[in-house]
Amino acid sequence: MKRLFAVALGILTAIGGFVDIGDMVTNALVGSRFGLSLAWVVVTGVIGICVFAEMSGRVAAISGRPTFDLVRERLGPRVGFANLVASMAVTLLTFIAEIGGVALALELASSVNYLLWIPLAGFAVWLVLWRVKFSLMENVFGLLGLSLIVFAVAVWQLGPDWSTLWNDASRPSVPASEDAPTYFYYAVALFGAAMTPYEVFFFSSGGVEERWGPRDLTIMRTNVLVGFPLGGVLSVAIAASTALVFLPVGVQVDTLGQVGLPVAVSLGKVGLAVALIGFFAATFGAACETGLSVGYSISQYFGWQWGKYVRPREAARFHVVLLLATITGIAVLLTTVDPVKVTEYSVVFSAVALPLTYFPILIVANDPDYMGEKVNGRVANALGSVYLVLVLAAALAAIPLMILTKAGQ
Amino acid sequence: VKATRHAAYATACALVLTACVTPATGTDSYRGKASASIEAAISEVETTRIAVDALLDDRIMVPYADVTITAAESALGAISAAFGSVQPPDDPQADELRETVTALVDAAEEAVTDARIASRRPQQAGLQDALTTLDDVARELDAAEVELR
Repeated sequence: MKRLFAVALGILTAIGGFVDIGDMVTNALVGSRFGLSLAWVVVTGVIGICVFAEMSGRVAAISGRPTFDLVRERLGPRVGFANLVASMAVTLLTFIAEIGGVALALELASSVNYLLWIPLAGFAVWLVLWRVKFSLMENVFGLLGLSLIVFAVAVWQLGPDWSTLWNDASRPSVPASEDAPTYFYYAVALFGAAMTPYEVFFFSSGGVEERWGPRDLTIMRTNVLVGFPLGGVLSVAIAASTALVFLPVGVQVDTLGQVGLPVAVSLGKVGLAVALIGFFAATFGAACETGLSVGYSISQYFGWQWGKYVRPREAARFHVVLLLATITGIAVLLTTVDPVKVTEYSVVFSAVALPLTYFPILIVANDPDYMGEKVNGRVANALGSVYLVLVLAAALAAIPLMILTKAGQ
Repeated sequence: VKATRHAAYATACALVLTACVTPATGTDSYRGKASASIEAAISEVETTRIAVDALLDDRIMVPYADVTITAAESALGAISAAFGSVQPPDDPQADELRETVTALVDAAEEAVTDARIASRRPQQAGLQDALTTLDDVARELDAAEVELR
């Protein structure tokens, strides 16, 4: 019974924790401009993140060490450093966007300007990172993030023509009002949002925090293979809601407030209040995950003691990194840079950093010295190789498409 | 270090290039910018319409609607400023287009400002008037967009 509860809790938190500000904004924006014609990218991205999260989770469970702790040891300091710089830069950008997202959610609830909320949001995130137990943090925000199911309910309540929606999603094509480069720019952005590097950083390091062992492999795989795809369903629901309400009238999403409007139209105040809880939980939870990921990556590269499973004084440098990252995030946001723009850039740069993040995972997961009998099988290697080609293509296309389309304008 | 420097340089170039507002090189290009401005204005006016409609039906919290409408108002100000800063080509048609688009975007901004003021007041009549004005402005913007296609 206890094991069943652990599996259920793991799946629920994986669903609720899957969506972050990047997923919310990008899916809402894409839905309002392209309908569900880019839903295939979400499906592709979710399969990809499942493949690599399973690999990194398996590495953590078998070796007792997170994947990136092994990257430097296995691939040397040069590759390790490239991996660190690329993924950490993107994760820090995402961390900034998430703190901004928390402030925007609070602004929507209170109508107090988000700039006034930023120091408070940053402080609250830092306090949770410093004081709150890892499992409590993960479970509370993961479960509260489930509030975003309200978008699926809103879509159902809007009474769409399901066959039209299915046709849009299953027969992808460039809408008449958009051009091909813009379509593919947003395809890359959605792919980057779904496969953002911090998810595997956090997943593998979190496995070590929770002391996974070989017997936890089944639970880990269930969380990944059930929780993440259901989290992907939430992403598609957000896109569907904006496709139904905004696409016919020409609204293009560029604020978090617009993301929730279809829920208000469909379900009224109660639905909108639930969506606001979802916005807050998703962004706050992801801020904690990205903040920790910044600390994990730097500490693991330099070989410092890291993690929340030891007292802060025992991982002092790790906590200093968390504090500095939070201060940086607050400082950047107080320059009045638009958090939604930061989000939009973070998902595209995320796509650029993908090969440097995922290639080392594939190498480590194939090394019998670390993995013993649990090295990648044929299916994992085949999928991993196909996705390496995809992430490489996305990484190479991201910047040229950004310039060509003026960042999707 | 060299690779890092190249990557930083490429990133900086990408950010600069995507942030630039290119000057209009001819009437067609100017029409393209006018069309984009009208499309962006439609997006903001329709967002405000949905928010005001939801307020009238008591389907949205006042702070949420207020933030959403205020954001639309700021966006319209930015659209107006961005289009106003583009140098039109030396062509009477371009001057006429400039006047039309500027007037439409300004009217949209004014309608959204009225909606923002009404959304912060308890009386429903103001909101209803704001919605009527937004409907009119949206129709004019739609007509302009069709003409510019």
